[in-house]
Formats: sequence, C-alpha cells, structure tokens
Amino acid sequence: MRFIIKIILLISPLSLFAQNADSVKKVVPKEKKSFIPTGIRVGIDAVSLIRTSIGKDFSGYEFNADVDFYRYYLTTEIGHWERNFATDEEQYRNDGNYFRIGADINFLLKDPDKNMFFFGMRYAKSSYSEYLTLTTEDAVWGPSTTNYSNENLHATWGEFTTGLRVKMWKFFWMGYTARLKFRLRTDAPEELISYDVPGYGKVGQDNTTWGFNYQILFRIPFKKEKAIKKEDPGKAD
Amino acid sequence: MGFHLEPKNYLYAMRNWWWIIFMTGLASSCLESVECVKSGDTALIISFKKLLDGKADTVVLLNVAATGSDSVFYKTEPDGLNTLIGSATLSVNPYANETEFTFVFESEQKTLKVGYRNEVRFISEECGSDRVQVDLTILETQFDSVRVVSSVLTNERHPNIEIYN
Repeated sequence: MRFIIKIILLISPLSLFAQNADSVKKVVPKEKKSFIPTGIRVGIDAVSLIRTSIGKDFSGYEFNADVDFYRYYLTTEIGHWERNFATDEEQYRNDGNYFRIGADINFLLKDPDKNMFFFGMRYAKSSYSEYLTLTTEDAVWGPSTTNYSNENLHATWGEFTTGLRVKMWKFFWMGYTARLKFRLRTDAPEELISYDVPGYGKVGQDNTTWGFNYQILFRIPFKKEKAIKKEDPGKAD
Repeated sequence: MGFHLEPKNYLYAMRNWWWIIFMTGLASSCLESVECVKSGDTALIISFKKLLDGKADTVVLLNVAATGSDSVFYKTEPDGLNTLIGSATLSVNPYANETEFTFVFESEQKTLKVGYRNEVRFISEECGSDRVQVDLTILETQFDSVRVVSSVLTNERHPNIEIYN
C-alpha cells in the first residue's frame, strides 16, 4: 500500500505538466533536433544546507550538475552527510560520501528558456561508516557499555526521479527533485544493522524510501544564446 | 500574449509547484515515520519432553545457574524441591556470544552451553536500540538428546530448545 501511495505522489505533478505543455506546444515553432550540448547546469541542494544549519543531528551538502543532449540530460550528484544522535543509553553516528548518476528526460522541450519538467532514473552508490555505543542494564547480567562499528561499508540503490527546473533570472535557476529510492543493497554485517545510509536515508524494512531536494542552480551556456523574441500570438500555429 | 513566459507567470507557476512540494514533503514525512517495535529478549525457553512420546516432562530441579552470573534461575525451597512442569525460562548473556548453564538435579548435574549471535539495530532517537540474539546453537551438552527448535530469542517467548529425557 505504501508503495502505491509513493508512486501516486511521484507522478502527481503530471496533471500540471499536461496543462503547461499544451499551452506551450501551440506557439513554439519546430526546431531541428540537435544532440549537441548547449550548456552545463551546476547547483547545490538547499535542503541539506537548511538541515545542516537548523538541525543538531545532521550535517551535509550535495552538489549536482547536468548537461543537455536534446531532450535528454546526463545528470550527476555528489554529496556528503553525517548524522549524530545521542541519548542517555546510546550514541549513534554515521558519515559518508555518495554519488548518483543517471539521465532525465525533459517534457518541456519547446520551452524557450529551457525550463524543465522531467522524469529520470539514477544509479546511486554510498561509502560510509556507522558507530553505535550502547549502554544497557540487564536484570540478570548487569550493566554494560558495548561499542559497535561498521567501517568502510558500501551501499547501492536505484531511483526514479521527477522534478522541475525553472529559470529565475539570467544564469540563476531553481528547481526540485523528488526521488523514489528502491532496491537498497548494503554490505553491512548483521552484527550492527545499517540505520542510515548517506544519500539514501533511513533504512526501512522494504528497502524503499522517499527523497527530496530543492536546488539552487547556475546554468553556464557553452555559447552565447540568442535573445528570445516575443511573438505575436496571431502568428502562432 | 506570446509564448515567452513573463517572470510573474513563473511566480504563479512556482506557487502551484510549491503546493506540490509541500504536499509531497508532508506525505514523505508521514511515510518515513518509524514504528517503535522492539523484539529483543534474552529469555531462553527450555522445554523438557519425554523421549518416549514427546509430551511435556515433569522435572525436579534443585537449581539452574549460568556461568558468569550471580543469578540462580531456580533454587530449592528449604522444605522441598522445585518441580518444573514442561519448560524453564533462562537468560542468555547479551554481552557475550555464548552462555553455559548448569542444571542441578536431585542425583546429578548436567551442563548445556549455547552459542548465538547478537544483532543490534538502532531504531530511532526516540525509540533507542534493539538487540536480538539469533542463530542459536548447542555448543556443548551433557544431556542425551537436545535440539534447537527456534534459533531466535524474541519477546514472543516460544520454546527455543527441547531437552528429551
């Protein structure tokens, strides 16, 4: 049931996309397909920065970049995060780096500003370590403090993505990416079961979870782009 | 009205998308909530059975003790013997990977050493951790016939080991 809800939430922006696409479709003249990249877009995840600044238990950052090949975008994301929880009985800590690589398909191809509504896929890999210090008081065996650690672990997973990229002003863009992360595989030994995988999040029993990034981006064109002329609506086909 | 979207139209579009973002984030936070369910329990349930028919056996014990613990799980009353009918609940050492128990009967004593793995899972900051003993095995025993029937020690407390007399 959860999986179905996640799918519905992931594709829910489609209804809005349909309206936008129709309105743009009527007025944009046909262009020749060109798979030559026109620019590179680099950005940083604002959610990670906000969580780092306001949260006590999270610290991290994530950069992303994409390059266009006609309506297809080669996309990569790299990041780092650390989490730290401490209570009277236990202290959990992890840290690690991750990357994702994949492709997005732009469904607003004819938008003159190259605004994007996209669906895509990612392959993701994380390298991380986890530490847990557990203090317990057993009725029969008394108190004890035990240290558990999983170092140099690796995890992989896949992602379905959807999102938006909107040109705000000149080179400055904003956008978001919603992610459905699935098929998590880790090499964590069973002594300490992985709790949180950097780049993936909390490890659930069904190995599926949500992710969300709000990105601040800068697009660097490979060559100077022509200014877009406003057309008379009467001339639109 | 041309095909080039004006900044105010972007803002309008963004406002719509913000609703989607908000709803997605809200739903996501609900979906990611972790249930605080702990199943760990150090209780080892020993079931005594008759070798002939497999039915529950009545055992007279003076006491059962575990190496490394001051606790004695059963001790005879000053004016009589404790009689166990069917099963006994012991406790394995959660800080080790094996525990040896000594069963003292009226005329003899027998040992049973069990091995297991401790699996630890951090559930959440609010819920804490759960430590479960799994892969229970018999390492050494002086009993004639012993078998593991459930290799995971959980708070559901099903019999883990059957001893046949």
